[in-house]
Amino acid sequence: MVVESGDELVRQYMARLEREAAALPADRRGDLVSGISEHLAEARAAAADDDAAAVRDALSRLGSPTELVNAELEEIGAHRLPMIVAAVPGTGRELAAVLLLTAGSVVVPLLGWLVGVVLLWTSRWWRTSEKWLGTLVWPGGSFALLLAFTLPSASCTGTQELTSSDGRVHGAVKMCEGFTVTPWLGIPVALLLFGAPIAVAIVLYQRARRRATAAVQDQATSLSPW
Amino acid sequence: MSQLRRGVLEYCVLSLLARERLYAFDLVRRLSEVEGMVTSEGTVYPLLSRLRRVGWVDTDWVESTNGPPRRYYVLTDAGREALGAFSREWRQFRRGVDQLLGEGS
Repeated sequence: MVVESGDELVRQYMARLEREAAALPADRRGDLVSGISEHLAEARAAAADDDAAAVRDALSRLGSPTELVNAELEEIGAHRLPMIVAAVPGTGRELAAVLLLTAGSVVVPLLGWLVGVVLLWTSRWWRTSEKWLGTLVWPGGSFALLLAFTLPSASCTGTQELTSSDGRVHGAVKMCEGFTVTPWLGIPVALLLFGAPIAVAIVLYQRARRRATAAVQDQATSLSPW
Repeated sequence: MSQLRRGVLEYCVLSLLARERLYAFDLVRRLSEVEGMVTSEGTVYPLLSRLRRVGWVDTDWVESTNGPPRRYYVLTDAGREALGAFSREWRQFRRGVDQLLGEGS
């Protein structure tokens, strides 16, 4: 059996530690490796005899490289994990709400919009003013908007000739029901009415996400270790 | 149990540093002299690293008369505050636990 020297034991231990610490972020790895290296130097200086037995004792008191790397991972994990876990379910409801308020009300008329409004008002990430904005930007959602635009289009049933009492034709009148909006007014209004709910939906969702993320980060930084 | 121990351990570190600045090896040995406090001395280093990152302790390099310079750990004002808050909570917590454990025996 080969009896290893103290230097050799330290070298082997540090090599294992560096190998296992490869999983850690560079700054953590550097701190851990230099801390342990300094510790071993101090332990050897403090021992009555700096021999292999003293080194073995110091190494067994330190714990295995795996234990140390796991402890470091726990220190990192304790402060990162809650953020990941809590951020995922954070704004799924809010995304559903804004989608239902816009596209949902076209796919499932009225009901889709109603569900969207319920989700909007039960969310904790929006202020009351924003909830009113989401509700009132177009009552009934985009479906109601479509209805509103199909109504003012004139439907013509035919023409009627205008004849005088002697039977001569003076001209013809188009027979139409409903009313029309002139294009120079209609197109900008249409863009505004279609665009506004979508713009509001995007802004509302971004605000919800920003607040949810900020809240989760606050929670993670104030998290006590136990 | 190891969760509880690790949670309390960091305040024991702060408490040792509240009396005097210590270099890491000395700090670790003092902790491991307390029965049941530290099972593997090396696991204190990740803890020290985090305490420095959150600003509860700071480090100073000090020249040594015999050997290389030593990195000393000192308590910051934020660390002192954290320790004070923990001490108050701990006394209350300990009384509560003792009371509950006492009822069972």
